[in-house]
Amino acid sequence: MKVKNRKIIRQLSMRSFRASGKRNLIAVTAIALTTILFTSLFTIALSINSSYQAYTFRQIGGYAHGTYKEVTDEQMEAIKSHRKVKEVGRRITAGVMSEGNFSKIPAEISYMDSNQTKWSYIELEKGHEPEKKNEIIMDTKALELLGISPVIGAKITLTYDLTDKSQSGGQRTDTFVLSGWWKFDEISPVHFMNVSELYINELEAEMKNEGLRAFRTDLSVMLPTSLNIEETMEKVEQDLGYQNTDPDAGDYLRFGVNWGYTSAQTDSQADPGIIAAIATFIFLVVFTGYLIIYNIFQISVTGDIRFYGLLKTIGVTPGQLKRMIRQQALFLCLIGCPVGLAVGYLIGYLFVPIVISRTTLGEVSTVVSTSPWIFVGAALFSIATVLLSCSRPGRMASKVSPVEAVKYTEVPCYRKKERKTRGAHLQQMAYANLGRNRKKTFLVILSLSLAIVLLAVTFLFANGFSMEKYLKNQICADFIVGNTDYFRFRLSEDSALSRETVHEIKENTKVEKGGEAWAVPGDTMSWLSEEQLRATAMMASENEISQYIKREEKRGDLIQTNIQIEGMDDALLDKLTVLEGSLDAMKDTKEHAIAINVPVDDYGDPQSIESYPKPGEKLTVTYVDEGYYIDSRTGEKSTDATPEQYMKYYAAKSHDVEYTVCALITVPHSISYRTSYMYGFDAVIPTEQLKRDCGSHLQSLFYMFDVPDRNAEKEAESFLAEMTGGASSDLMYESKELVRENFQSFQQMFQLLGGTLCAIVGIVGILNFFNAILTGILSRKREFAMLQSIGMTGKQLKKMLILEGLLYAGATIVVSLILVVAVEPLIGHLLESMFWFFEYHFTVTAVFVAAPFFLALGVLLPLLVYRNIAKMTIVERLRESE
Amino acid sequence: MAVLKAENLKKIYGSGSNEVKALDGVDLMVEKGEFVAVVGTSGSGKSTLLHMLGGLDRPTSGKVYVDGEDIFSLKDEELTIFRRRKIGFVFQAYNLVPVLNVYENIVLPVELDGKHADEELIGSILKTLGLEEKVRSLPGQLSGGQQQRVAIARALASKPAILLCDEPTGNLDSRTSQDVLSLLKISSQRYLQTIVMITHNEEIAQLADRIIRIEDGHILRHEREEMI
Repeated sequence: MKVKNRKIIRQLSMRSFRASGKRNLIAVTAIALTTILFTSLFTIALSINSSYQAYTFRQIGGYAHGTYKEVTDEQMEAIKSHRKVKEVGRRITAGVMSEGNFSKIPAEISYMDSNQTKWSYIELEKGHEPEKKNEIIMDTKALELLGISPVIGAKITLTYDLTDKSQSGGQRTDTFVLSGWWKFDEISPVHFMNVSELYINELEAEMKNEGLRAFRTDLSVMLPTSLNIEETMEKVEQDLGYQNTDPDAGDYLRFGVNWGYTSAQTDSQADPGIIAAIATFIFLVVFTGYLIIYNIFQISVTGDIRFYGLLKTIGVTPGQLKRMIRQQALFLCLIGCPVGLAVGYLIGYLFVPIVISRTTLGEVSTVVSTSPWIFVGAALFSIATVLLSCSRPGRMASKVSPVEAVKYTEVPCYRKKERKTRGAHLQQMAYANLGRNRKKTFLVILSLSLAIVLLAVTFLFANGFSMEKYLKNQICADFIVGNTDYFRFRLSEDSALSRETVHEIKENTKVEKGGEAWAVPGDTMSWLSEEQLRATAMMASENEISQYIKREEKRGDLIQTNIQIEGMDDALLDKLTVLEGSLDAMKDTKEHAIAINVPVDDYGDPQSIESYPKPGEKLTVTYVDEGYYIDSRTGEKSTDATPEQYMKYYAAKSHDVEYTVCALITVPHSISYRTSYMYGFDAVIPTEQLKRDCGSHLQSLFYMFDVPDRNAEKEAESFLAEMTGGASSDLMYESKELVRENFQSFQQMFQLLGGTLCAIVGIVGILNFFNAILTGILSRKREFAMLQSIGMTGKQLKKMLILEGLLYAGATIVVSLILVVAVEPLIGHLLESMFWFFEYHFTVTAVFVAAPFFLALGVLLPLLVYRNIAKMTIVERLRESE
Repeated sequence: MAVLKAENLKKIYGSGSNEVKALDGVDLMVEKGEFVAVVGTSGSGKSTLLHMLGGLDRPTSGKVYVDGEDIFSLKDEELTIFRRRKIGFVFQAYNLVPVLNVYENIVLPVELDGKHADEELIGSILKTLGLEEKVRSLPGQLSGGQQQRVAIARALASKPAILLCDEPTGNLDSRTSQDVLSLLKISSQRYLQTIVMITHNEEIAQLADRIIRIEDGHILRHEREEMI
């Protein structure tokens, strides 16, 4: 039977809701705090993701979902009108400048429509997009390189190559007028120079007249969602009747997916550690939230039990009672959640830059996520917590028998019938009072203890970061100076450290021990067995490996593979760790000794060492004097259009040197190449030996040195800071001091995050404490009046209440001490396995730090509440509940 | 000798048109060992009178002497201490401390005073009130009559100058009421206790030595019954 009673139930629930103002205030605060925790967590997590994505996009040069390459006008129209394609952006590339100032980062001269401009992170600081034929826009760095000050209307003469991958149209020189500029992004791979459509069209027509092909037009697309980009683009292509497997067929259409999207997705999915950490955190928040919200409702239902009994006697069903309580809870959410969402987002907003600045991205990459999922998720989680918390009190209210409810008093579950006579001392009474509602007392103590345990874990975490371990891993010398390219993993022929620089450093610093590392400028190959090859190819898939083996040159069973040889001065050799064999043979130049670098994991444990050659085995190294990649189908030099499976390295001129493996070693990351090939060994040969063997000039990678004392360290630090500081300097350095600073700010970030978490959980705990004390006193108002009427003085009453508070605090300290002792070793070892630079030390300091604070609260909270009730006279209080 | 004396006692709540005169010039004298009943309808001011006599509330004007001491000249803290030594209360709602057992409830006022209970006296009170079997029980386990007897025992335990009872049988059925009242009377005789009891029940009031009627804050007349 369905009756229209919703309205009256809602009315009832609203009326009783309004009657319990204090409870509501505490509950709203608790809900808001719970929501704050969720919101700030989600904000930080999603912002890290979006910042990472944005960083990748900037590295790639745009955030379009994908690009159809070299499209014809007809293909373009077809793609544009496909229903899966939301928006398109067009780019026509005329040519590049890659000489002189633009040798490091080339400039591309192209036309972009407004979508493409936007998607390429081009936000004009001043001016407008090119409209007239001779107008051009470019970034500030490009202007600087051209020696032109950013003024609208400035004349710029550019000479560039009308070249794309398939043809060369020679050089072209034109004079443009600057119509706008934007700030250069340091990690951008290219300088965009955008010209007008008019210019491109006329130039294209001119080129066609000369019998050349049309310019390359790429069409970037935005799809309805960033999920499954590759599948969607493939589908669009198939729907339109194009294919991307056979380049020679007429309907060939190539496309590329913006891997910024895919990598962010796979990265976030791949790390079970992070997922576990987030899940633990969510559980913790739900639990703390549950503890307090449950307590509040439980206490308020206990208080109103007569009211519910009354409602039942007049015919309100249990279901309706539950609904009443649920409605009240949801109404509290309506107030608490928005507040929590706003404050939580603000906290997240403030913290994201701090977190991001500690990642490899750097603070400038901060993108605070504005995803609606933050709010939806946080709100859902906190509403779920609230509903979970009020379900038991709801059941309790609905189960109460109307007759019993009328008799119901504050001592609901008093199982004891007798009590040993211990005397009516205040301490005894206080102790007995906590036993009145054991469940409530237990929950309060538990939630307070939880706050302390969290504090202890944060403490453990932030202080367990071992500077020693971190330093050892990050840098193995006092100073390392090199070309910026070395530190940014972009080594090229121009990245060598000059003799003058090294000389200058030696002149100006006290060097105790120093040396350089050297690279062979050309390609170097070696010949590996399949097992060895597989051991080195940890990042490659099975399919990739077999393709690689198939296409590469072979000598018997051995496969040609790159080898990355680092020539080391003596000072560097001392920093190596020998796993097997010895480096002694390196001193004898006739031996042709080589040491093979075995990769290690974060904890310094060597990986698949059994597949590496044993000391004493021979290894042939081919120094390539002239070599290039060819298309294995044609034997011609490969182009960018050559699919990877057909790319093959071809050594036109080379010479072999046979080495004897003298040792298996590990090279500290900071003095290694810092990058490695997908396949092949990294090896070390003494500098002199390498010079003789390779047959060309070596290129200095970096200069490493140690100083004798702290003073010398400071001097060297300031000298290097100045030397490498200028904007035009292509030098960079790393030092122990920088690593130390880095480490400390990393540690501070965790202290800050952990501290905030502790503070919020602490507030929840204190709120719970306050609530317990408040309701404990309010419900005994009359009992206290009676006690006072039979002769308990105000002082004695206060003393008893303080004793109760102290008992809560004391029990909390004991319980948290037990929990910390039990839990800390587990967490400590877990952290050790998660973070290589973490060192677990048992500590209970946090408990002792928190103890005085809680004891003070145990005294202050009861006094505060007592003052509130003492305003009423004894007679008023005696009468009140009658 | 008058153990309790009230002089021109006035208690006025509110002011102006809201003014309520709960007590309007009450004079009263109670001799040592007397059992006095104060009778009146609800709202007559009888509870207010009792609260004033026991020093739970301060009058607007007038004085109360207990054992010759002007109780309202004492500070709050002193008054409480005076109260626990000289005045015993028995309330309608028993008002026992639920977490203490019978014995602990009884000795509570004495122990709050930092003294040791007179074990002999307590034993005798327990016997008189028939509570010997229940010393270790918690209040929640007792019937209403038993709880009220505990409350009486508690009031007697500190050997007060006077015992003030506020509708002591209000929550009890008539049979139990009779039991409790006769025990109250017996104890008052045995321990030479002065008792002032307020009630709205004429029948119960008849048990007293003297009945004082109160209406609208005024004492109407004193009825004295000869003791047989």
